[in-house]
Amino acid sequence: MKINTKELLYGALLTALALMIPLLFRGWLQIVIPPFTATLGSHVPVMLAMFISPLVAALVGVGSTVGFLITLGPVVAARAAIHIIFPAIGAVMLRKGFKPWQTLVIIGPIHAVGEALVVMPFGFTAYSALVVVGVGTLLHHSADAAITIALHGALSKAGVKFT
Amino acid sequence: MSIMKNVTLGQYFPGSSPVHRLDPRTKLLMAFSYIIVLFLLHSGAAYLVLAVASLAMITVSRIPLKLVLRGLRPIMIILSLTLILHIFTTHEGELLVQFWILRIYSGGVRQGLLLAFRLVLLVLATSLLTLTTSPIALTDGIELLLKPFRKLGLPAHELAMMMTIALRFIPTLIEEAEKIMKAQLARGADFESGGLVKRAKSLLPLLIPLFISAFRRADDLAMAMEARCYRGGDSRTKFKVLKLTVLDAYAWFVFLVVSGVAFWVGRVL
Repeated sequence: MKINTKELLYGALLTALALMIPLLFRGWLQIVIPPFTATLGSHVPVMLAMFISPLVAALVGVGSTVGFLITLGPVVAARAAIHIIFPAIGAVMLRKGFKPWQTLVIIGPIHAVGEALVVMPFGFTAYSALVVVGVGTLLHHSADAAITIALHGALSKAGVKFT
Repeated sequence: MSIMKNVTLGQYFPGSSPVHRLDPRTKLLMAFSYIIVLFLLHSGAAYLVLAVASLAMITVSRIPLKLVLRGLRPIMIILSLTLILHIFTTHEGELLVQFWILRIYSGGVRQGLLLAFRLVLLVLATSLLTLTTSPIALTDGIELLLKPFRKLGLPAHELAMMMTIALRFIPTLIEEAEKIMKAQLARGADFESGGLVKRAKSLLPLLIPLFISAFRRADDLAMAMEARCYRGGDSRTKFKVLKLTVLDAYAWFVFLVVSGVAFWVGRVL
């Protein structure tokens, strides 16, 4: 698997944005329904990375997981680890010709179930993990998917070439 | 709306203690092994052994205990819920308290306390890793640990390079975001009111210029790197070469002894 310099840099800047958005918008764009917490817009960088390549999408996921381990600790990092899988699947789907909205809708449940499963070793029952974290993640995913589609359109109009 | 003061990046606490001087690869592998040991043990006495060892490590690292305990703040909700859920939903052992429809059993209290204790130990160990290792050393360590997987196609160098650039650019992007936010607020933008859809829409005037600026920066940097003949990880040398020392061997010895004692205590008590 090879990655060119431009893709590497796009991936790096998206990783920086993925780490920065939850720290930056914490408080005023944060939704808290215990035990679920989410920051609006936090998935946008990993979702945009899907338009570059599957490898870059996965690397942005790995980068944000390591970054969250450094900045916010292991629990947030465990949830962020799911962002390695679903964007990579999404990127493969985009390459196969799926439309962006179709891709984001299909990967939504994978994302939700993944985040619900990852909190279970921390002592949550299957019900509270799947209902609170799972449904919460699905709603958060949907809001961020809408932002990503609007943002992708605007960036393409501004001349940003993802591939 | 001041955002810079609310943002803390990284947890690194500079120092020259023996824990700080350990090779990042040793610390990463040890943290990983510690998590495995923690999940294999199911005894309060064994967790107590690990807690004493963790406190000893914190003392040796000369990091203020207050700073390490701060790492527990983000998990307080999860910790409380873990405890409450197990206390009220596990119906094993002796009935301790009965109030209306709520019943507390000894098994539930034991299970809740054990899981909460495990979570605290998990966070303490990983916090110690990030408090004693700089982000750059950590990415270097990850790159070297992942190097053998290059043969399987894993881009270890690229991942480390991405992380290094990302960490370098976070302050620049935060500054940029603050400028854009102030400009949009001056134009009458409202980021804080309304429901989920309104808030999502209100983010666009902030995110579009921020992402365009980030991608332009990436284009400029890519051009500069290529002009300097950057060709990825092959045959690149490092200014600071990581070396394993006697200290790392000693740390592994201590880790193995502590894990052995914890397993023994867990079996006997």
